[in-house]
Amino acid sequence: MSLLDLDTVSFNYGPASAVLRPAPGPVLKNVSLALQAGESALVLGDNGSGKSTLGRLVGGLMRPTTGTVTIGGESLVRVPTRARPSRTIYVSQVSYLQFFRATLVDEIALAAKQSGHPAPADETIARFSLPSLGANPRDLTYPEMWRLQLLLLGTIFRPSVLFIDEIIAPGSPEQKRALEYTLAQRHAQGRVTLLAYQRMIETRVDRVFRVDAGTVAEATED
Amino acid sequence: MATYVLTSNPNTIDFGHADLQTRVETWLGTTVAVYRPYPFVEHSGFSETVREEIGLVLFNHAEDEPPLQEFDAFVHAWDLAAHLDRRVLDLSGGWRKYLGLALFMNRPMPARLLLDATSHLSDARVRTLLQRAGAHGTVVFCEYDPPLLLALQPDPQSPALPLLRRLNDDGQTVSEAAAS
Repeated sequence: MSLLDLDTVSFNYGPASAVLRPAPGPVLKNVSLALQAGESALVLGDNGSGKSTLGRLVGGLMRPTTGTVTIGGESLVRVPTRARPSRTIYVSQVSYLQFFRATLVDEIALAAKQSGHPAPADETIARFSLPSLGANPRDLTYPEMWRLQLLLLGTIFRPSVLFIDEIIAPGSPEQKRALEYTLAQRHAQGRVTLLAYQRMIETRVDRVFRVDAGTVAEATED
Repeated sequence: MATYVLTSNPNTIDFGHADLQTRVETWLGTTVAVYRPYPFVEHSGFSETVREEIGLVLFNHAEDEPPLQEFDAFVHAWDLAAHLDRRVLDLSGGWRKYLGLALFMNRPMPARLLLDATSHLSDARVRTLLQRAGAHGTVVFCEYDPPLLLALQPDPQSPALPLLRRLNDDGQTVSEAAAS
């Protein structure tokens, strides 16, 4: 059985202002995909193709208009909100809005407390090339914030399914090192990781999907 | 007019400080208008649709500093026609950022410094940005991932991309890199 299953999922944002505007068409149309435990996937697509919508559905932040999203055989709509972070987390493109403490060390401690998992060892933190642990997360550069999110969510929270929407500077050595470590750890733990980006990356992933005009197809040739 | 890509250690780019702007202005010998790395636009809040947002911004700039392009030419140049009747808030993150960049680029300025302009944008959007940059005075791109920009290939169906000249920033001085 797959760990993550999307079965004929469609999504329509609906007529947010139906009086003035026509309802937009479906953002995702009959999307089906399945990922096995330990697999990683790159979700490729142009701006506006539906990558983030797919991520929010996988992360349980929105419900499909039709179809189902299941994790470990359990439909996401049946998972209580408080239990969801252990099953699935969507890391949005505005990750700088997701910090809560004034120092990195406190942010790490908060993630450990909320997840119920131990804080990582110093040598694990070092793999993420972060500045001083006394620094304020909001003072980090954008790539550093991204690596901090990898540490907090991929390594400490370690949900069964992690969807990371956007990769910042994937070509830099620090990003590659942090991403490869995270993917290797999550593979060994049998967890699924999805990365959404606009183009191919050098870091190896198990599967590649292309989102185009609301449809999702697996890329096999490259 | 020239288009530059400034390279430095992406983990030390001082996006939050004025020092980089000062170094670039010193090297160029002119002031620059700075696009700061707000990840997303960030529209005016006084409009609902993309059409209204563009119209509002162009109208507000028209009296003091006429925009480089009026509505129709602007929409055509930046490939925005398909989105005019969409709500700004319904745009994807990449398109919201792109809309803000397009409006910023449409103001008449002799030189611009774009900080982290291309993250979240697909190759197609980056190509259009580069093409417009080449037509709009001196532009300096400061990116977290400059090799990505430098390696971007032209689309055979689109106009050629401008020549990208490289600048180095060592934290003290900006200088032009020798052509490789």
